[in-house]
Amino acid sequence: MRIESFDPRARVIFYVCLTTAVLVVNDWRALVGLAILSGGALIFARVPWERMKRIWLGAVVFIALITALNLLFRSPTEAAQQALRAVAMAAASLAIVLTFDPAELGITFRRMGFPDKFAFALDLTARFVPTLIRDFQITIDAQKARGYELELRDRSLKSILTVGRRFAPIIVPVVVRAVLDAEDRANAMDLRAFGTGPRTWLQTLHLRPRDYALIAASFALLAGGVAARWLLG
Amino acid sequence: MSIHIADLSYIYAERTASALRDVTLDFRPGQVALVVGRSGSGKTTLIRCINGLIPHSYKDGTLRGEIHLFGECTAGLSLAQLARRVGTVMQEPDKQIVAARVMNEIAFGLENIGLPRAQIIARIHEAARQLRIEHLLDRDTHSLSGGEQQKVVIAATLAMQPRALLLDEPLASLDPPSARAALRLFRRLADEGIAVILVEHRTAEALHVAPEHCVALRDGEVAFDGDAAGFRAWREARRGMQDDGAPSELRRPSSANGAPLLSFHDVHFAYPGAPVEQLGGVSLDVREGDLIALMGPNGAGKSTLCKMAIGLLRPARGQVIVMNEDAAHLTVAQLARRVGYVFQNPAAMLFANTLREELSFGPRNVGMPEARIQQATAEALEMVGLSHLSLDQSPFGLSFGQQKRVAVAGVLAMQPHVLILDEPTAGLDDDTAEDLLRRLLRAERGPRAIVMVTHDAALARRFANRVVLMAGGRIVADGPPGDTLDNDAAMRRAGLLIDELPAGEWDRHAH
Repeated sequence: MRIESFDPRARVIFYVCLTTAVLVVNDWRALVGLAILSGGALIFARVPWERMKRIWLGAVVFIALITALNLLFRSPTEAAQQALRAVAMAAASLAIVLTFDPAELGITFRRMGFPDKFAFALDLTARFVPTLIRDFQITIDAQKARGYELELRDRSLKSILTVGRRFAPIIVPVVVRAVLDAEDRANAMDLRAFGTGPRTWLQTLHLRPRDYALIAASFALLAGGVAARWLLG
Repeated sequence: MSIHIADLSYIYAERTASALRDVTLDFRPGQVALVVGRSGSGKTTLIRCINGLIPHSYKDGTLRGEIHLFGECTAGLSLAQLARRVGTVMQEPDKQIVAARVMNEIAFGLENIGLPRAQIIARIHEAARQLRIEHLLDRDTHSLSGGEQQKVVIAATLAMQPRALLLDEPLASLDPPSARAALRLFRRLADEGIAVILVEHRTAEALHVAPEHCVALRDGEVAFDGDAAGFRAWREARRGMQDDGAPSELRRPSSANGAPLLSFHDVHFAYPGAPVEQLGGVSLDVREGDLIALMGPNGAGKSTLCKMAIGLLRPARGQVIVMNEDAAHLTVAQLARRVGYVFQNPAAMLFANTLREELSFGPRNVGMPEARIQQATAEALEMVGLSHLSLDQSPFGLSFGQQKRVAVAGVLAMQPHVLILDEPTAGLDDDTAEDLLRRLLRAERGPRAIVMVTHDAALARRFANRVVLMAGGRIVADGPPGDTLDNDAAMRRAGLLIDELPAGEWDRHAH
């Protein structure tokens, strides 16, 4: 059985409940339990290591930084709590986000009661992320061809503060293009009668017993988290 | 019953000039109508009036006149009603595709009009069969080629079962083999009874569709309205009058002696994870005076090869020598002083508030002294024919054609020895594109050699002194345009030979 075999709505509910519980709970034992649960979800998600290697690298740097800051300015207990929280959140997010089919994003939220336009906006976002990445790459290449160097040669504070200005040759063309393209995209959607009435969704979703079980377990987990906070502090 | 346009005029909000003036036209089902005109002649506005974007989405302009779609006046129809009568395929299919999967893309319009699910599925399969893209239904839309994306967009449009199909420059993003296939498809759809209105810059190529009806727009007015034979005669007469100076005189001789400015020695390259090499041992010398037209179908390796010249990609095997130095030892910025590379879409690089800032960006990056930058930018603007513009003007307020010239000027200002132009004619009408090349060839202090990646054989024939044909990551022919472009075997290998439509179809429609 794979994590994708659960209905996407059940997965979203599980994710929201789990991460909320992680944020609510303070007791270290409960946090260890939630971190183990998140880790289990990630193992169950069977995401290839190659795919998440770089994300984990970034996460580890971030976690090390907040742990160090907590150790410096707060207590070792708080530092451990925050580190556990961050590990649990990262594992849960990777397990759910990396196994989510972008084509199912819209229908998932529509069937959770969100309006048509909001749900389709999510689909559009998923559709245009690869286009945006490609536009960035083309612009970086085009500006490199004009002698632009992305790396900061001067690492002084002033230079780092003006970093926004330095990135203008990359950011501006991509943003201007996205804004101009938005008019064409809105036209294309108008021409196909988007937003003129209630729409049918081609995809269908079916909740099965195991999905109901996951949803029930998710709410139980959330309730447990709130109770732990209340009882254990 | 037809599409009848009577005395149509339109002025966009906050503009004073009419985008269309007193246009009266008739388009019939079962026919292909070819609509041509320069940028700004009103072609896109005409399409927007027929499909209802004007006045439904462009509400603030001034519209006069009427359009009757198969007996119904469009003024009384909503966008949803119009969407079921007229299908529109825009210039860049990538912008029109809104769904992540092909099947969902075809379903999109049908979902919006609230058709029952079973009916949607039946129509998806019917449209996919009609376009012969059943094998693409489960694919991600962003992984499709330009030609495949266009077919998906047309399938999505036809799934709405329109009686008219508006095609806004559908050949712009296609290589010759895909363009030829697209034209065959348009012909077939018209033969099946749809009114096909084809708006196109690439007039010579579009005439292969054997249109029954041709319209030329100029400054928002109808300059020609008649059959294909009449249109050919009208066009020839007009070209004859406008042609200033034989282009062939501008061709420069290639210097066979001396070291090449840029040379590739047995260059190999493969993208990570790709099963086959993108370049499989390419050797090519670019010499003083060369204007090389680098041609071949999409995926032949043309852009990959050009990116090697400026270090954006590095060869896996082989050598790139730029002005006697191995490119492997030079950074992109160092190479940019010697080789200029202009990307296809100017929107990829324009960023500054003023033309002055935009044009001095490259020279400043490569360390040109400030005193020389001013002169170099002025010369670059002169070379692209924009010296009348104020340097304090924003590049974003210019037309697409002018932006494209600014992009070229931005690279020319770095005073490169070799200039690489990726699709210099894309999005430009024939006259504007030719004017740009003429100016570059006439310029005294222009680049010493030019390489242009192009699909336009007519342009190559007029301006290039060498045509290099690529296919499957290799060079299949290299020589003067007469030798290469007339070499049927090489042209066929490079997928560039334009076969006419099957004889039967041609005979039936050409006369």
